[in-house]
Amino acid sequence: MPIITVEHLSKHFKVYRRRTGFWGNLSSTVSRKHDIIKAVDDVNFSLERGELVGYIGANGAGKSTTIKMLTGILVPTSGHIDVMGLTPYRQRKENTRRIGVVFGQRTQLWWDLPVIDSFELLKHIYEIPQNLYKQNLEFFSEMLQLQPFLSTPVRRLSLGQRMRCDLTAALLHNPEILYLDEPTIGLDVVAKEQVRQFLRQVNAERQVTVILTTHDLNDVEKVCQRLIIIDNGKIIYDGGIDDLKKRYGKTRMLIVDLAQAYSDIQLEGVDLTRRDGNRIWLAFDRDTISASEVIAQLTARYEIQDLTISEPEIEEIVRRIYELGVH
Amino acid sequence: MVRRYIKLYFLLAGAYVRSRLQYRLSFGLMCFGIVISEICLLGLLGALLAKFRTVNGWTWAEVVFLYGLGNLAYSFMRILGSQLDDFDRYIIRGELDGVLIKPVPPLFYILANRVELIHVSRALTSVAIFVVAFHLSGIRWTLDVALFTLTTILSGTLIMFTLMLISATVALWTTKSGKLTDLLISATKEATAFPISIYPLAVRLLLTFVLPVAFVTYYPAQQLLQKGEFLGMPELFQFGAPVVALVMLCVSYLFWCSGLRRYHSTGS
Repeated sequence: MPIITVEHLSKHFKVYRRRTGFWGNLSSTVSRKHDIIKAVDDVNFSLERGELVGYIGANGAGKSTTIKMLTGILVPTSGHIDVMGLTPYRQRKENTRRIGVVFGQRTQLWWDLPVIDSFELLKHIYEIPQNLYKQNLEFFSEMLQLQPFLSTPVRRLSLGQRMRCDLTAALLHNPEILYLDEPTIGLDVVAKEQVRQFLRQVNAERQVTVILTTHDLNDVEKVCQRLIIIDNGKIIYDGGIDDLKKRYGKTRMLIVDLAQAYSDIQLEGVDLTRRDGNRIWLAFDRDTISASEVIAQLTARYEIQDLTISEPEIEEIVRRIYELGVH
Repeated sequence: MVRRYIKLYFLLAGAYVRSRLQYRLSFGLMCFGIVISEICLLGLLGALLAKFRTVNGWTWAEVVFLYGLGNLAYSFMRILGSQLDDFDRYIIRGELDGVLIKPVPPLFYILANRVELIHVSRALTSVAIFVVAFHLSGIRWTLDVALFTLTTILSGTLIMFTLMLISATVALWTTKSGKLTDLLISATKEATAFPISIYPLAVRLLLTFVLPVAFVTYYPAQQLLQKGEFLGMPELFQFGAPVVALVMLCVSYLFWCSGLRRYHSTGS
């Protein structure tokens, strides 16, 4: 039986239009016209216990709105949510006891107090039995090497250290589901890797179901087994990560600064996707043509000042899926 | 259940006080500043009354009595409800989401998270002022008087608190409400310091039925000082403070709940 079931879930926001000028302002206070924004639009998915799912999409695609509905912060406009047999917005308190939430941008810890004090407070807020608390604290301190800074005030921690503490804080009460909203945002490579490894381990050893939203495709590649992509409030992809990569992720992007603006650019096996003055963006499939071959073609025909190769970003993959459709 | 919440309240409030004490100098300076400002205000009141002798038939001692009573309720409200001062920050910075993912009632959590002890300095000053004024007004201490005074202070604190809660809740619709709260705090504080008989009828009605701060000091003082000045209102109003406090508590809490429902459906 799935741990989370979401059926025909929608969330619409009314956005009031404001007219400009004095009379415009006056008339908009009298009769306000509004547009309906479909932040989440007829979304369906279900998760099995123990899954590790990446929920991705561009800014404003509807990721956070979905997470907020699943955690009970927002009430859906229509549709049905079932989380462990509960309806989150109706049984908010029961639901919060069984989930953990990490907001990457905002810490849930007490800013001016030593880290350990935050954990102690959470013990009382979630009514965690003393022996379970001790056991969990030991487990996470060891796994995330928290010991050196347990008595340091949160405000003096580095971003990476703080994220490790926030992860612990979200897991002390043994939640069955862990929601993470951009947990790696702003972290350096080493800290990101630590977070990813931790998530895999927690998922494997404690059977915690993990849903994470991110902008970093590497997070998804290294952590998740399954990927849900949302765009404009609708799910446009739901499936395995390997499948997606096979289908869309082979495209590399070569960004070239040409010495002059050539009027006509002809290259084989390459798509010219964008052009801005002397800079051009070339997409190519690494299975059909190698980067060196593309560069060789380029240098043979044009004069080049600089070039960089970029890995496909989520935005790019989403854009491609959106353009090509899901097959 | 109740014990759990009392314990949790003290733990959270204690955490806030400990955070605050990380910045001892600022804490000390703010306490000092509050005491100084209280003394200055009292000096101003004294200077005014020295010139005019009485305010609408109220002697200096009686006005200071009103001032002390109002200020006591005010300082307790500031100690317990100071998180409502800048509640809109919870919405602007999205901190309310962090509250809603905790297994405790949101209002309880928000209030417990900040218990502002700097206002204890104000409360202590007010107690001193009140005791002196009590003595000067020639009120005799009996058990009845003591109980009535305590009920009055408690009801006054609640009435002021509920007004704060209502103005803070407005932020759940408008996102910002800090200025409104500031205005309401200072207006209610001023309004409790003088007999409302100095105001025109419209203002007296406003302070009785809309923002019922006249029940914080003016009406109960009729009983304590035996003034018998009711301005055409029922004499029962002198005992009305606890009833008004309870009604306001219900109204403000329902308003808070509807604000929260709105937040649940719109977010920030």
